[in-house]
Amino acid sequence: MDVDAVIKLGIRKGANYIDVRYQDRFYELVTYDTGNLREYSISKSVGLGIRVLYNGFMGFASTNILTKEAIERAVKKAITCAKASSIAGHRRELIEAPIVKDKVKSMFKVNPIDVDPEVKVKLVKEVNKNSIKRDGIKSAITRIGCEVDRRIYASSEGTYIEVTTVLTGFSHTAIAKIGNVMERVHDSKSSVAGYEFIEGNDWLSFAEEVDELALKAVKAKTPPPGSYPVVLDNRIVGLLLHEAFGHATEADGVEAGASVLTGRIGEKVASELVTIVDEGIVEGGYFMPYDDEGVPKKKTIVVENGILKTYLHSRYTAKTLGGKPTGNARAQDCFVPPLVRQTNFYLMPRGYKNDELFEDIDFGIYVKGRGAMGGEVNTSVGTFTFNIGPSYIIRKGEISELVRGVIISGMILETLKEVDAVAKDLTITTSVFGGCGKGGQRVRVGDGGPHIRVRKMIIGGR
Amino acid sequence: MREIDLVDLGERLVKKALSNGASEAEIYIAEGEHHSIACIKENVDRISYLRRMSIGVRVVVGKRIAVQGATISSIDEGEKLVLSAIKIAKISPEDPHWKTLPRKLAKRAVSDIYDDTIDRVDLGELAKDMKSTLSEVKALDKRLSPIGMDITLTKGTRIIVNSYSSTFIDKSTLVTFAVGIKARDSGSESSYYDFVSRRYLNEVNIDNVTRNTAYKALMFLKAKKPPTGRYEVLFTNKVFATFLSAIMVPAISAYWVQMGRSPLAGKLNEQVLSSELTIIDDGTMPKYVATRSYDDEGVETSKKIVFNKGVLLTYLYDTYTALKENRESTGNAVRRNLSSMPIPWITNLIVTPGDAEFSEMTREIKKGIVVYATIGEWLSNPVSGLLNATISNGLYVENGEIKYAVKGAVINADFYEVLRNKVVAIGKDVDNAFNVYSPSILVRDIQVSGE
Repeated sequence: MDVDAVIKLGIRKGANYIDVRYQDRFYELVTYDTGNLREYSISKSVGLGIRVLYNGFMGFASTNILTKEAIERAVKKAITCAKASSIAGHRRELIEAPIVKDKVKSMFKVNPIDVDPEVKVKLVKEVNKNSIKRDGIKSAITRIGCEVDRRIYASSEGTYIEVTTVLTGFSHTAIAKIGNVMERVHDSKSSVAGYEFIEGNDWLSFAEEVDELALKAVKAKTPPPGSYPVVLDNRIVGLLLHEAFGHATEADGVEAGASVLTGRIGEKVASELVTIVDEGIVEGGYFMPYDDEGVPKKKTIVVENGILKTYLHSRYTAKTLGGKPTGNARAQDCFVPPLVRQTNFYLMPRGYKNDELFEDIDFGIYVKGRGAMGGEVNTSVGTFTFNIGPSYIIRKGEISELVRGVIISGMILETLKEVDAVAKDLTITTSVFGGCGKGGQRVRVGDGGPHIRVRKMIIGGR
Repeated sequence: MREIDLVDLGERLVKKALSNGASEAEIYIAEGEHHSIACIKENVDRISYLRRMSIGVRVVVGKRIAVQGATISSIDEGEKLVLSAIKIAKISPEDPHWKTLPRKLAKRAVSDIYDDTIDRVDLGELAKDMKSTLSEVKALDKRLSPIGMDITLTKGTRIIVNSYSSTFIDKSTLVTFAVGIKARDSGSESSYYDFVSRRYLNEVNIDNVTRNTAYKALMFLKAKKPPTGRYEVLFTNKVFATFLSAIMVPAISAYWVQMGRSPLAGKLNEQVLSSELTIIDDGTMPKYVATRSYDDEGVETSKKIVFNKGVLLTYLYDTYTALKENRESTGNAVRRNLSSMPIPWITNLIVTPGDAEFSEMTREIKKGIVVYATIGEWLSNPVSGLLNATISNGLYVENGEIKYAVKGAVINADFYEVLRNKVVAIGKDVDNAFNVYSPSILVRDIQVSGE
């Protein structure tokens, strides 16, 4: 793809700025459902997104038809959109960003595209068939997912960046039924790596653990509803941070006045034990060396010892709100313009041992992430929620009986102030099967942290 | 101007598959054009245009099946995709349940799914109207300020051809609109969002939706959590529609039933819900957002009563699940994306309205909550039937009088138990959350976790 020619065309047509995003994405999903190959699906997507500033007004157009004529039409369409914006819109400026020329690939040994499809089918078949043989497992879905995402970003300012990210993963969902009661537990593991990640793990044992948990959960009760002290494990703490805080720091929401964190830079928004980072490349997380505006995504300290230090910015929001660009402009694909998004958002570890977190809890919940399906936040109302996997009651400092996964809820400006212990055991994870949704766009993210204790959270139960 | 003749493309690719070892082949082509206007606060922020043409290939070699999807730029790329799918099909294990692709493709006559005015919309003028509406929000009440507004106008073309049929083509339009407004008063902040989806642009009244959203934002100032307890709850129409989407829709899919993960399996002809509830799936309703003349594998759409006065009468079928039970598809094949197998899913799911006025239902509440918006309802569990949702906008009511606004409380319930034994009244006021149409519904004895 000659992105330079597209940029020159945009300038010739009158744009005072143009950036071009080319993407070539391969996504493969091998799904075995309750003893049958449900689908061996391959999705390929190639296209071009064009953003222009025309007399200071922004326009965007995209196309998957890459003939010379179609690209020319897309450039004209972007300019037409910018001109239409000039009737009722406002001029937009992008904050200065470094000019970068780079070409990077995430680390991988075996490109999953090159692996014999029969090898993948054989593995999911074996794991799935093994699972549905277990007494009480009524249904099971087993998947391998592989993604190779190549993105080129180029701008009329001279930046040219090419990033290729390879992500692979394995997932298993077990549905247990005992009597008339059914329960579902899902888990997945992914890594920014090639097929060697799939080859290097014992997926039979992984699925067995999921099945056993489903069989225990189907017999368990839901926790008593109410407000309790909780200990959150590494996996759920990532979801908590992402929903309870991360979205509210995204500056496009702040600019719209749709975040309860608007105007709170420098204020105490969390316990002094809380330091939160958003970072583009981190072990266990997704691979994001540059955002979709070509800005390097480095380590951004969002909250330091409880004090809000910065929002996450695009070049536009950094200019408008007076911050520095943090490399957080991200688009699901080349067909849509970027929004402000988290990358790998995580809590820094502190000195507690895990056991110490439970010690003075008389009655509470040990909230586990395995089996959790996701969360949601309303940043302007300030409420967030996420569901949890099968978890445990804590009685007099001891981990007690299993309870079924329910949902937890809280308020953005309250919950992180209630954190009174942070452990040492940092882990960060990502997923090839899902991601974070916002404004109709889904992007891969990473999140995590160590175990923490929160003095009060609302547990939904029956 | 179109670069590729899509009808010709579909037919060519089917021939290509059959001449390269496929025993059956199906090509699905989707072309979409979207114009969007996004406003932040009172300003038009961005106007954008997206055009994408994708194809889905389903090939069968004996009883071995593969699906692939791609955006393509040329016929040659389409042919490569077909060959790649055949290669995968040949190495796939046989599906013992596979019988055939649909052999009798047919169209249902449907009306009012294409708004030709969308082609003539002046985006600059529409943006000006949106800006003008937003700039009037503060005049309604000085405590109000707009968060933003979005509108997307979509034109879609869908083509299906398989090895047993001639080509089917249809076109439709969709308009989606969302607005968010904030209210501030003496240290308290609240906000409310509303969204509308319609086939026709003139059915989206931007001024009215914005004004109603503004008044609601004011209603929810000084919100707090109610005490944990059991309450009567009035779910407003769109909220109840989102619950149905999250919990009931997967459970009435024959695929879920056959795979053993639907709590409604084995309950045909049983009284599952209250006799007050009749729920239909109808892909033929004029102007409804999921209406179309044929489903995603070319089978004509239809109207089915799923629950008649609470009795479960049918599940929803595509061709694969129907043939497993030696019956006919109900015209409910849906492709979530073009690289996936079709799955039976709803077209328009419609809850038959009752006769209660919304205001009457509110007045009937002794101690309860009126729920206007939730988050996280999609995290409910359709396998166990457990509903989970966090209230983001609600009102606490005692003896028919609104006492205070509610946010941050969690609702938990066995959804089917509620719909069977706890329905108090069903409203007249049908509205849609995308393709689920529902009235508001008053239920009793619901667990709410708050303070």
